[in-house]
Amino acid sequence: MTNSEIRRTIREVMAATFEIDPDEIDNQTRQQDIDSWTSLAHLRLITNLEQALNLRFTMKEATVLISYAEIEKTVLAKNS
Amino acid sequence: MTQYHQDTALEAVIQRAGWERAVFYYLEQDQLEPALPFFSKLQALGEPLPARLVQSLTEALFEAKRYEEASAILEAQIPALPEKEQTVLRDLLARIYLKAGQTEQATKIWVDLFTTQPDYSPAALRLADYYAKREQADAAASVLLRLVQVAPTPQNYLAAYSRLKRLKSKLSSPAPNTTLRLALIGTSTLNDLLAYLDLNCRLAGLRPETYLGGFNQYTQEILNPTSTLYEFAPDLIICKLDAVLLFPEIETKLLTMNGEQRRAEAETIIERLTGLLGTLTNRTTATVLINNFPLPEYSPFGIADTREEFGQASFYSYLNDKLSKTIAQRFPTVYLVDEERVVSRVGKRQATDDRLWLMARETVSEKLRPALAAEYTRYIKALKGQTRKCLVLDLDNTLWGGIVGEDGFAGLQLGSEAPGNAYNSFQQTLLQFSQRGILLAIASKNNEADAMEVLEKHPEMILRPSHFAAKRINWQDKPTNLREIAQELNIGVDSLVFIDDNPVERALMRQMLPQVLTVEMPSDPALYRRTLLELLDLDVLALTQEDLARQRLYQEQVARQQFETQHSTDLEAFLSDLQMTLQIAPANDLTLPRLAQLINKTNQFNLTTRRYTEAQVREMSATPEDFLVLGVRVQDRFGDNGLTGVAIIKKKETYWKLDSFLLSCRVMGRTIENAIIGYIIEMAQAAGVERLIGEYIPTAKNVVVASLYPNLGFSPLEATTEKGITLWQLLLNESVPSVPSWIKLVD
Repeated sequence: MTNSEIRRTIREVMAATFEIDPDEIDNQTRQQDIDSWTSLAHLRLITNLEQALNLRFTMKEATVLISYAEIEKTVLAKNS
Repeated sequence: MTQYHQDTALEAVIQRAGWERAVFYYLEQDQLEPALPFFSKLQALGEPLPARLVQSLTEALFEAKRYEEASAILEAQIPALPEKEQTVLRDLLARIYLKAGQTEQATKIWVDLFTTQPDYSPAALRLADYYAKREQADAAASVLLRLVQVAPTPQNYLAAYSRLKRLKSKLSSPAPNTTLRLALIGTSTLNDLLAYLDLNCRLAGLRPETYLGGFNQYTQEILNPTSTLYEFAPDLIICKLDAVLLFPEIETKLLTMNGEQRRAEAETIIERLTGLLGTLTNRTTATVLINNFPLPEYSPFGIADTREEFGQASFYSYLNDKLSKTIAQRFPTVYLVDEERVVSRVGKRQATDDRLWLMARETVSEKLRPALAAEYTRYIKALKGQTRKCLVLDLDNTLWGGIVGEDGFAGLQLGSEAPGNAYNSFQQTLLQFSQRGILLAIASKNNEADAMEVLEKHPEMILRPSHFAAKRINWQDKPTNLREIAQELNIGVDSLVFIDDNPVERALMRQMLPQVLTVEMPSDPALYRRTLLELLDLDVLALTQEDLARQRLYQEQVARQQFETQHSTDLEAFLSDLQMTLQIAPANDLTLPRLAQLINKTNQFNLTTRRYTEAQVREMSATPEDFLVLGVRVQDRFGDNGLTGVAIIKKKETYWKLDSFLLSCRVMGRTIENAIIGYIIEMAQAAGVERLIGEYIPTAKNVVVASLYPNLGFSPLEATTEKGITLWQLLLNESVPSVPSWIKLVD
């Protein structure tokens, strides 16, 4: 996957998990900006990302992935 | 080809690869503009472009809101691609259409994608969202259910569930007897499990209302008489307990205790649970499902566990055993779900997810969730009378390997060696089902003589002709054969399960008789046995004497039918020669489970089709001043038909009303109903009652009894109501029907 494909996948997974339009997600998006980003939805986000990107987060990573920027940074670092 | 031509061709390939690299390079830098001229050059070549290239570029255009350019490229490129690669791009094109305001084109693509690839979830979910927005809630729900059915992934379950939750109030009202008020309470986080339960109910045609208990709130919910749990008034309470939350320190504790103390500790846990169940069952008539406790993966004693007096393994097996006995003896409305077995089936390592547990206090892993929900669904189906009664089997390549008409008797694969032993193991499993009361039948395209020779004489066959309640070995189409089998056995077509290795026959059956459960058989016969065991539709909550003797009962039925054919001219002579005796008696502890089973299973000869749980029937029979619950046992010259009839009478001062009146299809057409009514009349007259009221509530299946009351001499009481419900009365001071002379009543 190229980096732009990864970014797109992250946005699509987030949109599907929180049931919102991908347009609502940008580099600034954080957990507190999205109502449906509950603690339960957060776990679903983690598993959905793992499945879509074929990687595995540690529990520590999973607890800090609470913004688009953090997710992108962590995934790209894992991928390089 | 000349050297010159080869060089030119090679150059073209290199040039093309370079352009493709350039497009990807600029897109990766988020620079759309410089990528476009290279893409145009590639397009100008007039050859099909790689799907990934088209996707990357059009997605970038889409994000830049340049919808017209994006859709033009996709419209031109999609048809040239292999079908498999079109899906994602067509979905993208539809999303672009939608953004550009071309709703109709977008929907057309999604409908088409959903029809040809119902498992492609993005299209299905978008189509469901589109229907939901247009207030077509039922259409949206059916798309979501189909998606979950063909692609039962955790993501699809959760996505479909959250959408259904929003749609629920807008769905058309449920058909009678499809509602279920389901409460899920317990120790851990249960939201995701509830999603599975809700959808499984809907896939089974039910319309659940659900209640989710708070995290580890089950004790308060049970003990507080005005809790939201009781307010919800559930029909079914699933109480999901986890050892790790119920007795969290147990591992450490066991290490510091001696054998005696460990046993006492187990007793304390049992007492605590028994106390809770006592309170719960006192306050509600709901059916309760509670689970036992899987043995953890590791013991605190290490490998020395089995040497310990009352080690961890003994502790858990004692606990589970005692729990199962206590529940069976003391709580008729509670059923113990064997979670230890479900967890073992999935694999203990797979059944727990440490991260999920630590982060969310969720004890059920993503892998265990579907298996556990499926196990609960078996109970729900049994509870709602959705149990199938008969397995209809093909012969060639289903019961044995090979085709008898081509390979011959001796050429069949069957016996103790692979691959033929797969069929033996399948037959062995079928035999088990037959012994526990599921009927077997044959629907096969064959020369009857060839097939019967195998059934009767093949030394390796486990199933013999006498195991089959009905046989259709002929050349007519299978849907017709299944209709005939249902008629011969006097059961509904929706009680049949169709098992055939041939996908064409299965497709035809699904199309012609969707009420039949057509099992998707694996192509490898080694997996037949497992496929059969994994069905959720063959369970009863408790096996009764009638279940265990059903095969014999149907053999007697065959003899009875032959007898009937011989007596085909004179009905009364036939009925007298049957030498029927009826034992009609108020329900008691021994008969209640079977009566409840009949109330929930009987569809045809059932005047009101009111379903009651065993607890509700028990409650009615315990208040004889208001209710009379009668069970009817039928015997004849061929044997004992067992308990086959139920009547529930609501007693009022001047009249008795038949709240429920039903007969098993096995004993229909033998004037037994006349005898039962005659008996009730005698009792009513003795009690000084003036009138007997009958009620008929039509369903899709009980048309056979539509004019039962007028035929028995009842007169109409009121005009037909909106749903076709009719009321009938019989004045007991006038001449009333009596028990027919050919039926003897015994005590």
